Amino acid sequence: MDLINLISEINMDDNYFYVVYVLVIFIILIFINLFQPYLKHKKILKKQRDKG
Amino acid sequence: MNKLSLTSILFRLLQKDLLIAYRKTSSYLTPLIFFLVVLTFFPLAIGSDSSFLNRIAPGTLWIAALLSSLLAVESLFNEDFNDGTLDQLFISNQPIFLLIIVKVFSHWMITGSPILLASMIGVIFFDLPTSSIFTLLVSLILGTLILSFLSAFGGALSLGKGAILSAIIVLPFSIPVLLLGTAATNAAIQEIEHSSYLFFLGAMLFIVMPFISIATAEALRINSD
Amino acid sequence: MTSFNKVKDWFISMGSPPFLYKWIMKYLPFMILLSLLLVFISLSWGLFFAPTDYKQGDAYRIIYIHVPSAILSQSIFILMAITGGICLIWRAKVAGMLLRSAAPIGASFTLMALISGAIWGKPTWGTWWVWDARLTSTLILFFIYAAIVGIYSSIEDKTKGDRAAALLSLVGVSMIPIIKKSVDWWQTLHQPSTFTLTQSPSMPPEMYLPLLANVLGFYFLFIALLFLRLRTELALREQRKNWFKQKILGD
Repeated sequence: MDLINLISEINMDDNYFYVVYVLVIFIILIFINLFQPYLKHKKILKKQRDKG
Repeated sequence: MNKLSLTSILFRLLQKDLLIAYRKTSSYLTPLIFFLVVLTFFPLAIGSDSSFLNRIAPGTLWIAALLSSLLAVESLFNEDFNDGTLDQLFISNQPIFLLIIVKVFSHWMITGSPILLASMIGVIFFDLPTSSIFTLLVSLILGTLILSFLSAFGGALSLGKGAILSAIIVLPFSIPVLLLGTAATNAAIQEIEHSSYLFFLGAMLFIVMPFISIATAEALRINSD
Repeated sequence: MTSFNKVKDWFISMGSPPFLYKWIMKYLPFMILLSLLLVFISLSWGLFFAPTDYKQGDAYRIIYIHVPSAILSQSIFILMAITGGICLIWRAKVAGMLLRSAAPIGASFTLMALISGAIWGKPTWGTWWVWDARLTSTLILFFIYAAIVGIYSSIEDKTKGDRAAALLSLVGVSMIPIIKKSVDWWQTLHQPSTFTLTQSPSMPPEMYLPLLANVLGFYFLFIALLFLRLRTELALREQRKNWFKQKILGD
């Protein structure tokens, strides 16, 4: 109940769209920094496993 | 066997570099022509009425000088690296950072000092008052020297890799020089008191010279092992 | 006394690739989840539950991403200079790998600071960009990051690339104050700008506390991302060594 009350208290003005843009770009950058090393690591492991 | 003193070795190095450059006309001609071409493009691309030219003149002259020295860095270390002269310098018992100072200085005499002459043509192109010529020359002498030392560092780090990588390294560090030089030239054109800028440029040169030469020596060492 | 020795031994053993790799494999999932959780909580706090600013409306909330990113961008550069010094002086391979792992993350945070600043500037001060000292020096910082990434990615030999990047980080960190000062003076050499983009430091605690929480969260996030990249860098360099092959075949 408290959470629902908290969420219903959020009302933002129109300027909030700018915040959303920034948040989206931030999430994209974090995802890039998460997935690029992860995939590269997987590739290296796969390559060494295939080599035997 | 004659024991050569340090100063005479340095002097011989200077002579050798200058002689090689003298025999190959393109060493000193191409940076000069490039400078003039860049100068020409600014009025062509942006606009050419006289008051506007007066305003963009310092920045344009300095950007042209900057670009010229960034591209000229290829002739500083790359040829010596490729034909083994650089290794010879290393195994000689001389302090490397002094050799570097001499090399950069000779490189400046070949590629940087023609720009001083060419800047006189710049004065004509941009219709600058004659009272500003002295300051322009002094600021360019000091500035191009500093830029030569900075591009030496960039060239040493990117040894064998091309001028554009060296440019990316050098450009952020050359911003203070650019700001100071354009401020000095601007002030000279507007006839404001500006000797402090020139003193500052001189101070910058004397600080940059030893430290950057040591860093350049280290970069050369890293890249040639 | 012995606990200090234990920490010292742990530190020294972190310099050995096999030990470091196994340590990372063990703790990395926890680090990533914890940091993502922290950032989620602190961001929600700032972006949703902190009070609305009466002057700037809700766009000011960008501060909760902008300021931590800017702080991180500078801290990471200093970290790179320190690890660069260790790499050059003691020729520690792990120091070089740390530098390569930190650089892209630092560049991302700098980019984040620049972009969030521009997007914040548009509704608040009417312009995407202005050439004042702080923005310009952050832009230059980004270029120096790019130069470091450029130099080590252009050198095939890994050790050489490490040392070149280390040298550039050291020279870079010593030039940063000079660049900052000269760009600062630039405003007095030329016309000063019509408005400055310094944030007001006087903030009520309801706004200030989420900011601190976000800075902390971002630091945790950086450490997690750093170890993620470090793991990949370790794997890349040690992939032909016996210990690595035994480790991955054993898993």
